[in-house]
Amino acid sequence: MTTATRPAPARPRPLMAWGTPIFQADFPGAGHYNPDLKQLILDGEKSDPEAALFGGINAVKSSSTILTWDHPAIGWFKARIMDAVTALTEAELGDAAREVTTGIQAEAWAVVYRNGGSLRPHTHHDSAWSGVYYVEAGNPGGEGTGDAGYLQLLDPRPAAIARHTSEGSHRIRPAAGRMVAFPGWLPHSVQATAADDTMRIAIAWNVAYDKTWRSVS
Amino acid sequence: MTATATAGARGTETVTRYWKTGLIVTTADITGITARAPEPDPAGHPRLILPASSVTGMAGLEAQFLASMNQLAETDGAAPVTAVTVQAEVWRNRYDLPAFACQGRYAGWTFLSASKPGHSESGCLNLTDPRAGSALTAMPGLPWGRQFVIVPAAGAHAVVPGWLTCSIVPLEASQQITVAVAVAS
Repeated sequence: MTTATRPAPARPRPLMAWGTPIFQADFPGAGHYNPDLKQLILDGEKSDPEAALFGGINAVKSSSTILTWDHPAIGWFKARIMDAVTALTEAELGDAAREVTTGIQAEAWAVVYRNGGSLRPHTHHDSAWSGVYYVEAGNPGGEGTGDAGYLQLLDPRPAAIARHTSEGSHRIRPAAGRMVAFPGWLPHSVQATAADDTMRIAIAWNVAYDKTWRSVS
Repeated sequence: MTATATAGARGTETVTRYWKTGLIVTTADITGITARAPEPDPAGHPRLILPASSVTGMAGLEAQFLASMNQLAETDGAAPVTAVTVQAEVWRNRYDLPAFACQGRYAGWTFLSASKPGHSESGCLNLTDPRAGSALTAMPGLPWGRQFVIVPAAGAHAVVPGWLTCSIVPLEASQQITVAVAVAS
């Protein structure tokens, strides 16, 4: 409704605030290193006293020592974690990201999914950034299986979901050599793989800061 | 969503932002829009709702709110807002709202007048980061959990999704604010 003496107001430009940054990359060197990573993980699974089912079904998590293993493939993988962390930090902090290059602490663990494996929604609340890398993807979203095996990143705004203004999740298809990374507070889950799916191997990781960093404003 | 992509030795990588929340934060033209001062209130109620008859230019206020709400609706890919309920309120005497949201699709405020407080944040409208748990994570630069702070100066105008948690910083005892409050109906 407008008055005769007052022009219709212009529509102001909206601010698009509080977006959640998500990193995704398909690394070209993955085909060279993935066979070694797979073998290291499956060999480790046989002797890992801390390997356990956790938070899901048919998903075995290794101990969080992978980054200490002495192997060129692990060195390559550490560098890929830093690729993701650097990209995300630059996206969030802009030029100030150059001040955040020390005090970075990382840990990683393997997750081996077998038939029907899934992981319920969770966060990595002690980490600044978290991610997952697919060593072997299995057969996600195979014929007749919909989004089986997909990574689901969940809208972190419960109030928006409650009002049905959000679809609630963003799904990413696993693919060998693919890295996905996001803030540690972002809820995520893994859709059940198809009952007849082949093995899927992922490496999950956390990065935190040791709090010796200076204030970056 | 927006994405930035780089390609190089590391392959193609993207950082894409999902689940942004659209906000309107601007200064509105309130020329000719006024609210008559309330009658003296010995009881000192901190919030008064003014009768519509005490506001001059209500149609203009409604048009401003509809324009802003429909900008957000368009951004959200939602149906247009066709009606808005606007009421003028007086906030004073330490009025505050620690946390609230609105049932309507969108909520808005246009400040019509405000006395100058002793502290710059007294009476401010805060828009809260809606990402659950984000503010609890340590990160250099503290990028998570930041609020938008709307200073209640005459003409300040904000429209947000109704589900967004907001708060009003307590006013000072001598502070008085007249504000038009809108809800998409």
